[in-house]
Amino acid sequence: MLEIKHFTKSYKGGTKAVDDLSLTVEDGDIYGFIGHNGAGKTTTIKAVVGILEFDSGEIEIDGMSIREKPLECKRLTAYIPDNPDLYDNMTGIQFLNFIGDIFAIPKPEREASVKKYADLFEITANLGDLISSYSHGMKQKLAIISALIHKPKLLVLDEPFVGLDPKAAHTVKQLMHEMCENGSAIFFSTHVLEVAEKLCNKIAIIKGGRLLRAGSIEEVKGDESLEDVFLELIDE
Amino acid sequence: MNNLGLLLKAYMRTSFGFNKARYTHEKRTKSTGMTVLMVFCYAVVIFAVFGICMGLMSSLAPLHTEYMVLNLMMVAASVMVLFTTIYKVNGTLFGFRDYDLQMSLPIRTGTLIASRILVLYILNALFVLAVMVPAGVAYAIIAQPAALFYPFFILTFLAIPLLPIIIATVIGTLIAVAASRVKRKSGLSVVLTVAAFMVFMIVWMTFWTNSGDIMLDFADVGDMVNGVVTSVYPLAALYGNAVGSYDVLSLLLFLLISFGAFAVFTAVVAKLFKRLNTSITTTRAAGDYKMTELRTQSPKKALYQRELKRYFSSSQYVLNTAVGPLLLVVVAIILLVSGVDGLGTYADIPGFDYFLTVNAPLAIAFFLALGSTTAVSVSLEGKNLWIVRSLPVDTRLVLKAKLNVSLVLYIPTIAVCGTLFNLALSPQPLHAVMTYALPLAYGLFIALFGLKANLDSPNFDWTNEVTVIKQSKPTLLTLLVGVVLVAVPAIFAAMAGSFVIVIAFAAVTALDILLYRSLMTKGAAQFERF
Repeated sequence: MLEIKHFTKSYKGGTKAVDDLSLTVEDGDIYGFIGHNGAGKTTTIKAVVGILEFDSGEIEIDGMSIREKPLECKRLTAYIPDNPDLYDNMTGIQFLNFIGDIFAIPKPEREASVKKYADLFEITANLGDLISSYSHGMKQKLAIISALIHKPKLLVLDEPFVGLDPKAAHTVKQLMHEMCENGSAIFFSTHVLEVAEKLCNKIAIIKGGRLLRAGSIEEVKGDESLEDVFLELIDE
Repeated sequence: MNNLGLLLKAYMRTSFGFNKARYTHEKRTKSTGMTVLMVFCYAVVIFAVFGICMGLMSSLAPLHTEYMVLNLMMVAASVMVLFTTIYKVNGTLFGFRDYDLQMSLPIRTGTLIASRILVLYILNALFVLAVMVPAGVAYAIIAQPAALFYPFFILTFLAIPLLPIIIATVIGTLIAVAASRVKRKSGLSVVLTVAAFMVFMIVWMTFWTNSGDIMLDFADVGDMVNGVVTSVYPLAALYGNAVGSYDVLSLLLFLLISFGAFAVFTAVVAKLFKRLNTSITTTRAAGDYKMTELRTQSPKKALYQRELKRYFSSSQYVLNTAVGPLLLVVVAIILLVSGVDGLGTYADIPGFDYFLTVNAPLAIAFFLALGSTTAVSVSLEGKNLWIVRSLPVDTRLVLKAKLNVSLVLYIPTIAVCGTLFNLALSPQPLHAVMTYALPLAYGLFIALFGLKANLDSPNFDWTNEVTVIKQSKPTLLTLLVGVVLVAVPAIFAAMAGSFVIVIAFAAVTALDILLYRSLMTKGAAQFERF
């Protein structure tokens, strides 16, 4: 579903944020992307979803290059950033309807999806309020709903559990499993190693823009805990 | 450095892009360009005021009443401070974005308030400086006052912004508090702000229609103008006595009223600071939504609706860009109701009727050039930029939606005001057509050029949208280019006749085509690189 080949991104001044990173996310994968602050996770994620240009390498979604066919790739993808700044001047329902219009989701399907996920995250009653009145967690829930209503084949999340209450975090994990069972793929960054260890079937560890290790969770951690492996790798 | 100094430093760093210019190497050239442009505009205002003051004072010199021009300029500066501060209060003194952060720091609330009031004062003092210093220099040259004038002038100068700031803060706060009490607070804020502006403009236009008399023969009407000015703003009489006649009592009263009122104002603000901030920033959430039928529309229309919602969500955005069309409507109505005579003694100038008829299309275009919605539309994406960048939408549709907001503002204005102008002036058929066609071409140009300017110099890291709307390079550049593009053919039309209007129409239409093509290719690519 997602193939990153020799991805390199430098910022002005020549600093390499990510250097020659390659990894593959298959259909049905829940792929965790872990690393320090400033390791290059968000840079990689932003390039994957087509909002950041990069110097070299290739990123393909469902066999299509994000550079050559950005719209086709974006139609298959949903992205939730680490800090979901949404349109404060819209109400929650207006925002979801806007996303529905952009993805041309048929009306009955749209209404059913919005109702299903809004009920699940318990924010139906708040959908008529302006987003500016929402808490961080409510914005996060709304962003997640907007990502799910168009049934993406690839869900890309940057620190998705930050700001979510325990129940909502549990719901998100359940939904991630459901999506993968239906053939979608998930690629997400996290700092919470316990979550990555329990939730993911594959993991990549990045440090200073370079990929240190990637593969199935068993391959990456062996007999040790993910925390021990991670600390060992980044202290090297 | 004490806490007050630290807070002021933080404000300067975050609000004017100095920090960005210092630490972001690639932005240095752009920020230098912005500084040059702002200094240029500031210098133009100073020289213009100086020229006007020299002219008016010269006509008063035989009567030794040049001080009346200082009075007039003092009132003009006060009105300017009043008007601009109303829209700065919410966002500077109340409801500013880093309120939570600053209030959580171990800093006395009084210090925080002082820093915010000082910011308002400094910003306004710069306005007053641009008006009063050239006026003072002109006075020193023409009237050659005694040495006592200079300390009196400097002391009063420092006090000029105080009372207008107080009045503006009261009005601005009332608008913000009233707006915060309803669900659609941005909507009410837009309505109240525009209403306040319209009241101000109608008063101003009434004065303007009589200003022909003042310009033509200020010596004869100087006393009358001074009488009006001092009756409208009593502080002006004290000011005139202080700087014109070196009356110590007037000086002391002027300073006492200004600084005394300011001290009371500061004490009241200190008492209400937390309560007002809470009231203004608290958002109303009903939490009673029930799922209803959803209305679907095309992506193109959805993007356009998104732009419209953004536009009407900000009273500053609406006011700054609707100022031209609103003024135009007022002028067009005056013209239709009173005919050319309604424009006061300008109508008595020989050939003015013909001049106005020839230049009517350019006059309409001039008002459109006073504000561009597109010049800030890219920057206003701000932290939300990721949404439209990650969605599967053609970037050209995003840019077209931004252009459409401008056109929705311009086209009805041109249709209505063009008709009013044509009814009032009864021009030749070709000219009647040009009264619609030329402003349309100019309106399109302003929209296209504004968008290009913003794509060239975007700022997504703002903390207060006013810095983008009022103080950004694209806004100033679009205003400057638009006004020059109107002024050049206006000069030629006055000399060479009406065919210049047709040539201007053809030239601007050609520019529109070139700009549109460039935006749909290079502009779209620029947007995709942000």
